[in-house]
Amino acid sequence: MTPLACLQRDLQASILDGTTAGRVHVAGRTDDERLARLGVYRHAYGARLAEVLANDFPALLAHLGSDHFGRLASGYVASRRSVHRNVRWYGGEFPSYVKIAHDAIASDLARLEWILGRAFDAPDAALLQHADLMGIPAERWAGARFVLHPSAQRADLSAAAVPAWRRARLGEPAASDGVGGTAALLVWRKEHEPYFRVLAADEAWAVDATLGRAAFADVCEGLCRWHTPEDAPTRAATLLGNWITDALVAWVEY
Amino acid sequence: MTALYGFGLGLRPVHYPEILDGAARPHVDWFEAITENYLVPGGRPLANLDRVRRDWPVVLHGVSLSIGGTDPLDLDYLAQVRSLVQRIEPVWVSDHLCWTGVDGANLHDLLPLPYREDVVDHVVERVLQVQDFLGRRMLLENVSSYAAFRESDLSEWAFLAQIAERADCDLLLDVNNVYVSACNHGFDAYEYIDALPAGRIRQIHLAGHSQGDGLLIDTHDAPVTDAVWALYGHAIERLEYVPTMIERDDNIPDLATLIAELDHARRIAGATSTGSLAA
Repeated sequence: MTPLACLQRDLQASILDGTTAGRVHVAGRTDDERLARLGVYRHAYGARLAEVLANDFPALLAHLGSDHFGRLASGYVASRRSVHRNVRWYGGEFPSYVKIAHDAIASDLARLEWILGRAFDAPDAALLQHADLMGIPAERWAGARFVLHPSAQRADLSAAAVPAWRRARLGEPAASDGVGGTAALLVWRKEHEPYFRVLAADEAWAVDATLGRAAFADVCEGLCRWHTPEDAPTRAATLLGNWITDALVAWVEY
Repeated sequence: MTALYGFGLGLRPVHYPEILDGAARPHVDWFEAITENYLVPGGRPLANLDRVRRDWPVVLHGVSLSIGGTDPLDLDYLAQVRSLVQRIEPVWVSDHLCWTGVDGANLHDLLPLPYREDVVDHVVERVLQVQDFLGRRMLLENVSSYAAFRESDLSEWAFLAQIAERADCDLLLDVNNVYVSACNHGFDAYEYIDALPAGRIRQIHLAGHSQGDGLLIDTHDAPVTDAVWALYGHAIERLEYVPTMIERDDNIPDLATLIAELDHARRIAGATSTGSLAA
């Protein structure tokens, strides 16, 4: 009698790689019948994961078209077996795969979609309110550390990925608009919806510093790269106020 | 185990607006949520499930426990399930009598087992572990299958019944799966249902299937067929009353269409016009 683990390995090899190993275990009148029965599972595996990728990367699908996207998805499914209980996480390496198999803009479009997806179901957290700032004693402001919402993520992507994403969302045809360089993006979730926006250089730095647990005084000092020492605290306060309005700040430690 | 009454639907995100923000409360007595869809850190999925749970009983239905697998039970996964159970307080938790992968892979499918005594022993041991870990009895569901094994020496229904008795777990009878597998393997679907231990069947699934190349495929993308309704009628006559629900995972219609289909189940089961049956 075949040990259960051996039987399962043989079947899995037939499903994942199309080998004939599983055939010997399957009941059927002919080899063709046995292969056809295993073929249902093999087909379902590829189709299911390709559908997951299409659902998780709709803008990339629109950008590339279904044929091109389908070839990329098939290649990814063939090269990356799923090890996740929740198929939600299967596409995590797809942006990197797209970069190797296609181009950086398409890869960054995929990366943007993946990050938005992560923001969508990131951990929940209470939000800091403007009024909460009144509770920080004046002498504690310099050392105060503002903690951003767990959904907040920074990413530097090809600037062309942003209009490509917008066109895909609007159902407009893909186009090359000549946008070059890098865009500094902030992605987060507000009222259950994921958002992103392109940041100016000083705000990108301030977000990175805040995500790195910098104290407020250090953020003010760092902003002096773009602002005078007199203006930097005002700029830091403005950014902080905007972040609180945008539901980006979870709490403050002081 | 806590009781559940009436007729339910599989909870699908496309229906959230109608369920949570519709003008009238949908005529659904309970919902079944796919466990894995809510094993996420936070955000809208969990918030919506919390809202549904405030107004309806909920059962959790897993697809990746791999109770028949030969990799060790995934305790991290089970810990996540336990946390979700503590949060949602479902009436019960179910998964499938199948395996989903080996050597760390997950095929995201409900793969059949050989029906042998040694596999009964293997599954019983794992069900006992899971029930101990979760601190509650679980339900096991029969799956649709497209392949059977040369080394099976038990019928599927004897396999299922032995596991349920020895592990002291309950059963989720998927009538469509019985029908699909009966057609694919040439056994008598009525004999299958008649042989199951009636006292352990806590829930019934209904769904649609499609015709593949010589095999029926459990696609959940179409209404329940007449043949499955007839089999359900036979099952419910034997079992008297078991909470019943419809699963739909593709070509999902609006909620009213699914509720109309659910009303057909109510009529077959002899439900009152309110759809609330006494146990």
